[in-house]
Amino acid sequence: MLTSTENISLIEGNNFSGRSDYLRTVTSFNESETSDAKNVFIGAVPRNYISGLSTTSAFELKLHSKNENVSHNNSVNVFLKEIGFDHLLNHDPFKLSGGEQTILTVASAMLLAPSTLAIDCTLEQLNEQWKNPLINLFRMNKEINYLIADNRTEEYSNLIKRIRISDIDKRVDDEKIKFRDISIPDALPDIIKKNIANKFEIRNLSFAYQKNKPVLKDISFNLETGKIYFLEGMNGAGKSTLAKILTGVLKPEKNTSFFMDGRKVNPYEHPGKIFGYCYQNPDEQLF
Amino acid sequence: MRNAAGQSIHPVTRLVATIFAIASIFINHDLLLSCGAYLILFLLLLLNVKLLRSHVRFLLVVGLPFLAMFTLVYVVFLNNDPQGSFPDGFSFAAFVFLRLVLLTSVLQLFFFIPQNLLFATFSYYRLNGNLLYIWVGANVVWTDIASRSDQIITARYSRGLVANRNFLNRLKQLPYVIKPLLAGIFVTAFERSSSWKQKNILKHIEEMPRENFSFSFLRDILILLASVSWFTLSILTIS
Repeated sequence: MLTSTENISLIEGNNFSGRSDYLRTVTSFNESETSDAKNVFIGAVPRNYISGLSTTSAFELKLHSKNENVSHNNSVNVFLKEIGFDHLLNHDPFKLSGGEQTILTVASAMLLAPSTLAIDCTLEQLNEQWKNPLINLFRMNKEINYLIADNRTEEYSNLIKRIRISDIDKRVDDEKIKFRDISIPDALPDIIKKNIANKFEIRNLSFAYQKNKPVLKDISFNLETGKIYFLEGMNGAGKSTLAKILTGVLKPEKNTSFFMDGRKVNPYEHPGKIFGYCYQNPDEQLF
Repeated sequence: MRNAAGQSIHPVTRLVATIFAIASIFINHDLLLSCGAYLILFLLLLLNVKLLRSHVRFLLVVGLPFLAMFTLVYVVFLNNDPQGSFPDGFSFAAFVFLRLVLLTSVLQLFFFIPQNLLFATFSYYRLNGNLLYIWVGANVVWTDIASRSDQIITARYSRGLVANRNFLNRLKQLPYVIKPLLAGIFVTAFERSSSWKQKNILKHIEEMPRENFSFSFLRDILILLASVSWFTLSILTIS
């Protein structure tokens, strides 16, 4: 559980309340003048804040390190080692998973030792095993003020310093935004029902991006129609990879088999027809 | 180009070799010289598996279809008639194809600079201020183009918008890719440039010790000699 601390502020507000605009404004993100990294902003899509000048995560971190803050650098490096990020130091930053890119961008920004670090919904991509140590690292580095916007506010229940965005800047008039009430039909039309399988079986699923480095190894499970499954795993464990295999975007290894109501199927041959997929960042699917 | 030991081409060699090689491609009108130059460049490509792979992909997807198209036009439709200084249509088609692949090879080998050497290389050329931002930014865009295109195609696959993976279906995706690709690149470029400015990242790199220019003196000399020789021979073929 996260502990309350004064150098971390949770920016609260509904979607469309202007949290991102607030964070961009207070950190002068869109100013045309070059600043000296006094304030740093990280938006919801971490890959946009990777410099793009590094071929490895190690170089990306080095690029942001300020020599005069050696003790500061040490605490970040110790944190990265503790969460097991050190084995990713030789990886291309653009090929890391969403959570791994989040860690890299936040750690890089911390190495710049800014006075304010604004993080806009980026931490939502982290699981507790990485999020809690990261917040503890924020607590230890008190010279930085952290402004965090996050939709999962319940995970910050012990943070006493909360800023309600509507109290700061009510530029969005709530009355102007209306949502249609979408009611979900109780029963699906028969024509759709006919095409829905009752049971989906996955047998011996294995996958590797590189030879001899399996991401998923010999996984078997069943899925039933009408149930909601929660896929849990560490950042970089292969959750997105599994979803992409089920959707037919990635091709699993040869011994993998899929059965839909007992009938053998191949999602790779019919991408997007058996399983759909909603991206981690909606920005990536607006095509 | 970087070899397995992490060595890179020296910025001066890179610039001189690119200029001489590109000039040679356009000056030269000798089919045999083009063949020889491509053979040498291909041997250099063999040293880097990643570059070789992308070059072979380019040959299969762009180069060879172009050769087939040119052959069809100049050999079949134009009766293999002489074209300019070339004795027959096929020689001309082969020459145009060679120009295309030579240019690609030169850009791959010399012009595209490894990301982590971008700043060091451009600052070696005495570029600074906004000009430096533009040059470095323009080079970083390639990485974004590759990953954005991949995202768009993946998103289309996962929504069942690409029926199957045959070549024709992939080709049909091109109009759907271009618009979001441009939009996506602009968004990312805008965010990244703001982030660079906020972090003052370029000044930061400027202060980093220059330890990346480890290069092979002998290899650089050979590259320079080869590019100058190619240029000289190209000049000689005109006369």
